[in-house]
Amino acid sequence: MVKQKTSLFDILNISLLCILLMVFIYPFVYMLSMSISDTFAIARGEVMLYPVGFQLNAYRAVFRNNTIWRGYFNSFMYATSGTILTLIICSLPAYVLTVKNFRYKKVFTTFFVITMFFSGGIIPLFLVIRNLKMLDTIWSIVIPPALSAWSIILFRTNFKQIPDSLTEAAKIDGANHIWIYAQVIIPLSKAILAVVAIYSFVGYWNSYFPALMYLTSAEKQPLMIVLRKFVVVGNFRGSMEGFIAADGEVQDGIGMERSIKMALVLVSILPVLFIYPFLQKYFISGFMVGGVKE
Amino acid sequence: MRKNQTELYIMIIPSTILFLIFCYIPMSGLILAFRKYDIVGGLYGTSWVGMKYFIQFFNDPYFFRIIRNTVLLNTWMLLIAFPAPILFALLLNEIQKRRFKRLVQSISYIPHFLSTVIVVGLMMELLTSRGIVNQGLQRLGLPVKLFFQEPEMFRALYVGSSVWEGMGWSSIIYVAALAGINPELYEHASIEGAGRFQMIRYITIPCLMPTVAILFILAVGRLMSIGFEKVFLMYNPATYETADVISTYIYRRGIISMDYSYGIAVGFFNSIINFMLLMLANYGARKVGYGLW
Repeated sequence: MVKQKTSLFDILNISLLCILLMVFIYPFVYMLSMSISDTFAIARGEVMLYPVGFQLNAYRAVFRNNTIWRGYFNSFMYATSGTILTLIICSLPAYVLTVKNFRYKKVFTTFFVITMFFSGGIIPLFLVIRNLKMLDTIWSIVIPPALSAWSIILFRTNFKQIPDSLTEAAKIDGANHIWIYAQVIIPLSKAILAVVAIYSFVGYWNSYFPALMYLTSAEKQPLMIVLRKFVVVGNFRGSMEGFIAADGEVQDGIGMERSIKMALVLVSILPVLFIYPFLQKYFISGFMVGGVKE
Repeated sequence: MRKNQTELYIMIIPSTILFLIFCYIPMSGLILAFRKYDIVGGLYGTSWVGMKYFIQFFNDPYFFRIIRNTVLLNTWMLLIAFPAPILFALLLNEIQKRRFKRLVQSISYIPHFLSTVIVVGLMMELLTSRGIVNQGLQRLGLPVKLFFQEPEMFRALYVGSSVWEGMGWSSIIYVAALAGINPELYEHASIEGAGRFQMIRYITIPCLMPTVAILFILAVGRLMSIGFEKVFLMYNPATYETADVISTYIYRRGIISMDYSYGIAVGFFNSIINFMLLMLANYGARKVGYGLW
């Protein structure tokens, strides 16, 4: 870009972007303030930006609630096992599709790519899962999102960039393909594995639709379903026993309820916020490689 | 050589089977749109009924409503949420301080990684009767508004929150396209005495057009499809009039009321329209020289 003097346009532009920056950040600050502010101040509508007064009862209520703990645990389990499954299911065929003399390479590539463009929709998938007796099991949550042709292509593009000389050397030493995959390809592909793992973890963590469709037992629900019940549907009373009378302090009921909601939202985005710096490091590159080749 | 190939099959077959079961069998389940579903008939139903469910759909009292809502919601998205990241990228492109630019960018991506449940939950908290927006309204002497109960507010809320969620993330592709513009173009223009706005008008925007065109074609191809997840969280019977779209209707009729064949027929009809729209959009774009294929 050509260097220019700071003009009126620049000042306007920077101020506009600063306003946008605040629009992006404000909800997070608001959540934090609401979750620790005095409940009467919340009820009086005094909390706009910074916290008014101080209490930690909202967090206490969140951490004492078994439904939330169980949701947290379930989500963590679904996200972790789903991510591992995604990495295995997608990287194995991706390696095979890079082998030069593999006879049915075209056939298999087409087979996977077609699923990127056509799908049966939610009802046929629901019927298949029901016929397999997989309703209300972890498999219904974990398997369908793991089948991503996009990730296969992403892996394949990256595996292709590994120099042939490395795999040839291993072959001369008598290594078979499984060994090459595990000992040569995978150790050299940590960046792309990280990209797919992070995407898929965040995807599983944030999703609620499969759980809504396939899970019926209350004790199997992931955190986002719990969140939907408390925060969106507002089904609060009765599910949060004793949250108003925490430690005998005097509190405003509705103020406390809103404070707890915001505390719950903050607690539920912690894993994503924790991953975010890693995301920053990898995701742009991952986002771009998707469109580089073929 | 033969031994090598066996290993390759061992590596590729498990994934292939999973794709067959969870992607291809459901695709074949679309046949059910033309067949009567019966619990004993399994995935493919018991007898042919021809176009019965499609005709039933065309005579559905909600036919017009869900199609109108889907198209209108998408049109508003196309008018507001589509240009927003382009403008954002153009503004970012004019920033010379790289640290500031990167700060704005990385913060603008965060909402994209939040769950829809959280975005909708937050929006509800901000817009509740005692929420911050309603307090502002009251201070201005206006009555309290129950945003989520009013059909005429639904589209604004949906589009507005989508802009907040997606603007930063969607701008990545435009920022990348802008970074690829040859700097010599600007230098030449500068020597020729072109001003800031002239450079934006005659270099930056034309260079961005191919990217915009591709994404526009894809967006038009989606004119009749709205994702289920967000609408489902945001709507309620009070706002069905403007909020009920094809995908939510399929869920209620197909899954909740267990009208499987009917739901599949509606979905099938929807996919055909989407495909035709994509073809049409691409045809139009090719006429002006920006075709996808």
